[in-house]
Amino acid sequence: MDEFLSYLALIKWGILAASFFALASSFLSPFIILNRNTLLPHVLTHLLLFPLLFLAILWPDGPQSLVLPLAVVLTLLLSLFIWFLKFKVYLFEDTSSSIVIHLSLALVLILAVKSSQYDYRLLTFLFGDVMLVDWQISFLSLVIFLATLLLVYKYKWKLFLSSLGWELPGLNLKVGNLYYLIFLTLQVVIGAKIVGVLLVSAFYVFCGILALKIAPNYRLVFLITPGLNFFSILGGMVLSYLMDIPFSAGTIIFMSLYLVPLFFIPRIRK
Amino acid sequence: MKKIVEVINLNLFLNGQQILENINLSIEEGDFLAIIGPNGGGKTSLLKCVLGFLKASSGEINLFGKRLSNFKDWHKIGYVPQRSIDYYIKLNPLTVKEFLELPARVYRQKLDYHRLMDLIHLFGLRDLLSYKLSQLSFGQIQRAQIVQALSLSPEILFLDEPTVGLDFMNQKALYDLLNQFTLEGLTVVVVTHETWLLHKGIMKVACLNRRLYFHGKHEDFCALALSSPEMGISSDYHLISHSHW
Repeated sequence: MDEFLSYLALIKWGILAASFFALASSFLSPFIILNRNTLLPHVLTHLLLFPLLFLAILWPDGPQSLVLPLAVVLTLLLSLFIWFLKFKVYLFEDTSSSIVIHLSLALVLILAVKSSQYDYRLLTFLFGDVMLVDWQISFLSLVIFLATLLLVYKYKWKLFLSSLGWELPGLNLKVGNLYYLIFLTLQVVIGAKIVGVLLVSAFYVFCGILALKIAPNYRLVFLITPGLNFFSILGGMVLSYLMDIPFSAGTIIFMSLYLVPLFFIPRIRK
Repeated sequence: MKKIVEVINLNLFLNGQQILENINLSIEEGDFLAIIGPNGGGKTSLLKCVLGFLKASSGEINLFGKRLSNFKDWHKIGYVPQRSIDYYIKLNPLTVKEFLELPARVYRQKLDYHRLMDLIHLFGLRDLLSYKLSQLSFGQIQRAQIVQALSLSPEILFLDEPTVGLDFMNQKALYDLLNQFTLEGLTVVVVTHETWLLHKGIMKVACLNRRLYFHGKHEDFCALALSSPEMGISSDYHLISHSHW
């Protein structure tokens, strides 16, 4: 028990930050799933690599408090390019995403080769490390969670209409959609820092799917998803300790258990 | 009669193609108007311009005497869109009750539950309120959409191809009901390409095929349709419509 408590003490800021990220992501997760856009967070994590490397080369000693917001802005600009290709060049969204991702990764490769630089901070974004998370990241994660809560409270119905492509007369869904993209980018950047680029998008899929399946109504989706996401953090932490595996991987393994009822209970599967 | 909708010299270009050309149209209080025309004739585009979904390239639209850009009382307008496959997404968590309350929540309007319950009874949705939308049949969703559009007691109701997928009896029942609403003071605008469906209750007809070829009384249209088949309306229309009703 003492050993587990000292493990907890070691990762306390990481767990706190991951919990706030899990709660924040759970409020956007239902919209992403209903919009059939579950790969969007994954796309954003790929786009994030270019700004991170670019900033690491341009500003090697830059403080996290400035590097992270800059990374958010650059990632957002790249993601807007997807929207440009989709709405102005009339490509499918997945085609547009694919083009921008490959362009971004090509730039990453060129930058890495030409600069002959290696920045250890990139690895912390790639795989995440709860042990490296400090109180500042936890605080940032809390702020993003609270801001997301406000966004969803204010735009809950408009985001829902937009995610299903429904329209009501005179309704402007563009502002809500822009906020949605900004907040998603914010979440992905902070989430990548905590649980890693490779696993961040899982927080938008597993719990949201089960919540949408079992919730008897729309409102309860926003109680069940955060509950499941938060529970995953606790489960992942225990699995990580018991099996001596990375925390983020343990969390995803734990989340995958949520899919079991979908396989075996027909009433839920329908 | 008060003009509820006024469209003046409206032009719409989409992707370099002219969809609507110099449209002038007015809808007065208590009208039961059918906007008809062939597929791709611009009927739904006109509706989308009026409802603020599409921005017109030029021209003016006034709603309840106000310019579209200044119009705020959108709860006065009910809208039944063409049915979308998205209603059937298995993951859609919305219950029928939540679906019916949706306009009140979005427009932040107080819902008259007494009136809503009357509509729910009228359209036979009482036992379905706790069902999810994904559990409903085609016809049930159509009824739910109409109740939703009427939930805030609008002054005008727009219906885009409301009879697609409905059997003959339900089509007739729907038009009878719309006629009844018109008699109670509601202004109704139906967009359809099924000209033979024109119900005897319909007062006015607007025939659209990029340009507005006709806008006037139903009986005048029937006479014109017979004598001018070049309008794009089958001359069989008159015979078919009157043999059905």
